[in-house]
Amino acid sequence: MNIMMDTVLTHIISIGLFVLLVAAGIDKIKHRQEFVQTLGGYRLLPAGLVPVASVAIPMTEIVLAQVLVWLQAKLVVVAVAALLALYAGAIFINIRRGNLSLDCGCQFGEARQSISMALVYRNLVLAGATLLLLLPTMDRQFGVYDYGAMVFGLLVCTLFYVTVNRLIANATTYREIL
Amino acid sequence: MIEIMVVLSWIAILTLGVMLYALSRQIGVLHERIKPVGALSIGKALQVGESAPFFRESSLTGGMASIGGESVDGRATLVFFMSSTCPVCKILLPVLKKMGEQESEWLRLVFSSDGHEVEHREVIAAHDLHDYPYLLSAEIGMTYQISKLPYGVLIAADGHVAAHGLINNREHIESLFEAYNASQKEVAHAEQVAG
Repeated sequence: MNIMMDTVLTHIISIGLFVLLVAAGIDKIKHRQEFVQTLGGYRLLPAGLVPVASVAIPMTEIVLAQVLVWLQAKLVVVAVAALLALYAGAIFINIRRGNLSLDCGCQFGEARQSISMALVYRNLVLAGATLLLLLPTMDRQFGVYDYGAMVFGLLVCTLFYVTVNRLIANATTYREIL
Repeated sequence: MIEIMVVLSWIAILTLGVMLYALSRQIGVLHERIKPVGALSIGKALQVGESAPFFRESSLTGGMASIGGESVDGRATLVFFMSSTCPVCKILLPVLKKMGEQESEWLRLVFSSDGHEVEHREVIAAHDLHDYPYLLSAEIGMTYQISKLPYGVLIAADGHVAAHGLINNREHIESLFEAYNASQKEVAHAEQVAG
């Protein structure tokens, strides 16, 4: 059986990822000072590389987002999924190291949030959703109804994403109070 | 007809989503509110007014340094317990240095931590802590029963614990200073009454 993706779905995923990556990239540039601290805290890069990476990572995110939406090349899809999986890996390694009080740097500059397994799963789900873009898509005419469905889908995904993030953050702050 | 029903259910789902988000946000705000305002003291072993356990160790920044006991220069000591892997500690280091300079008339700053010496030398170099005593000893943290980091213990010049607590921001450090000032006033008042 050949699994086909509907264009509405691929649009929701690619535009959703675009918004996510651009927002994350801009946020990292805006709060560069904090991001440098976070990156250093992860202890995965040599200290000399941290300042370079603190600019390179958000730039990669923004550039990948643009290419993903405008070109939709298979290679870019894999690259975005790899980037998301890389974050999951970085968090996972630090959880295994027992470095639980590490600030994940994922909360859009709002407050600090410790890392947890939930964040690893979240990133893996995002990477999985990205890989769905590799499936062949059905080409068909777009109607008004389809645009409605697309807007709805995007809004629901955004709401789910921010709510899940909030709940993960709540779980960690709850842990810290006790 | 079906289209209208579908659109209506979209609206319903979106409204529910917004409400769910609002609810989760409120819980987060609630957690923030519950958090203690001043520096939170957790250690049961450490009591304000008791004499602070005495330690004399060699500092990573050279020389010997002591905490606890009667102060040689008549200044109080703020022992800052930290870890090389804790991001809040690093954010607080510049604040602490600044406050240490401003209050240097009555306050001496000492850093205390444990772990690998190499990592701590990196921290000292990165944050320019060469002017402060930096003690590396798990024993100090254990004796003072420090369970959360970064933690501050303010020891008065006479060697008594004046204030202690978990430090997460500038206000927490100031709350330690305030507790110290209040205790000093009390001592002065008591002496006046006795005299």
